[in-house]
Amino acid sequence: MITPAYLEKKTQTILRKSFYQNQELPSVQLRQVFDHEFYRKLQPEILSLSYQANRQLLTHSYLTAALPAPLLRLFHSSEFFSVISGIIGRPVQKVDFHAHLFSWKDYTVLSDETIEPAGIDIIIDLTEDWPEGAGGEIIYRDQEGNYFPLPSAPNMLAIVQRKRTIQKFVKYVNHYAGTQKRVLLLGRIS
Amino acid sequence: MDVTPLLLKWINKKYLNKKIINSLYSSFSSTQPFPNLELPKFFQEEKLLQVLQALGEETFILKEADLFQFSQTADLVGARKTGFFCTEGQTCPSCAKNSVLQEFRSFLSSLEFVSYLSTLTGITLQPQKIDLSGTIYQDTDYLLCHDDQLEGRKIAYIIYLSDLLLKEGGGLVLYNSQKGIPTTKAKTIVPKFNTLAFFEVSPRSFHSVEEVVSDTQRIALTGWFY
Repeated sequence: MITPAYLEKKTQTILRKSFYQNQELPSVQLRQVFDHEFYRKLQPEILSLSYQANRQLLTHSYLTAALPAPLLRLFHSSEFFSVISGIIGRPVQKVDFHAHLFSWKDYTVLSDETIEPAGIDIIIDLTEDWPEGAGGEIIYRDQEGNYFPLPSAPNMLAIVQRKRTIQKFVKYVNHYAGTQKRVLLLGRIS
Repeated sequence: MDVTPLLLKWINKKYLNKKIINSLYSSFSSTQPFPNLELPKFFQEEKLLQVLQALGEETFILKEADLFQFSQTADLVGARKTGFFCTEGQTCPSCAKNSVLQEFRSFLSSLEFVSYLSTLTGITLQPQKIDLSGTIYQDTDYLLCHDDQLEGRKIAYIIYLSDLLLKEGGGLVLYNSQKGIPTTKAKTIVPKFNTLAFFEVSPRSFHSVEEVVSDTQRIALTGWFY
């Protein structure tokens, strides 16, 4: 499942240092996190889930789907948790994942109604061939109005430790997306 | 309401006709989804072309956030020092660079025009108190749904300075709402040069600007009356 290099303690130690380097928003991105064989099956499986439209004009627009039990088990495996806990430096017991699709005109907006509690965001990016300039970035914003965009790449795991005063949104997806979709698994460790 | 030389200088005289004013007053309060009006060819065209040209001398800064992406000037502050014109003129960092814009702002905030707008809307508005800035929406720019509510704002207005086709985007969308939540699109105002559009700011004045999907720029002056 996981690319072997990320299972090594010395790699996790280096990543942990990198994670905590930014004290304001500890974060790290693991590129090519899943081995090629696993990723080749995972991406289309996530795309083929049964999605429901989730739209409230003032706060968000996207499609969302629950993960089926077999996939949930994989993302609760000791192998997967060992990578995260090795980086954040504490045990992980549960991550609630949901699949999200963002297409043209989809977005999320920061709002008092959708404030997320402090926690560690686990973001798995499965987006392929995303056109440049199409929007759809995950962006963190602090109370001073500073923005911290998350890099985007297929087969990438991002771990972001967030205070309550820092919230995230998905930038409006514009027409350059065409028929492409941002495919994201969003989860949080409380 | 008196038709003064100042009003005649700037406004298409059709809109100064008593019958038209009465008709617009009736329309404003009854239009859906909330009080609004769209007035084509509102200003004297030649004057507005001068305003557009003057606006071209202003600095537009790209504004980006979760809710929006577009370019905007600073508030085109008029005179604050003495009389109607800033004594610092073009060196004043807070003033519009161009005297045409200063003059236009003075007109918009004048007792005459504010009284005129109060007559059209039935809403008491304060003279000398407006916000006014230039905006440009270019390809992919947008403004997501919101209600504009901020303390004191009573009328939101847009003076369109360019033409877009419906398919090019940039339309001002007004939404129906239920129990304080916007639901479906009720109306789309397509930008047309020299159209004045305005609506009453309220807990249900939900609106957005559609993403521009062409190379045509949506240029406008926009702001609020208080």
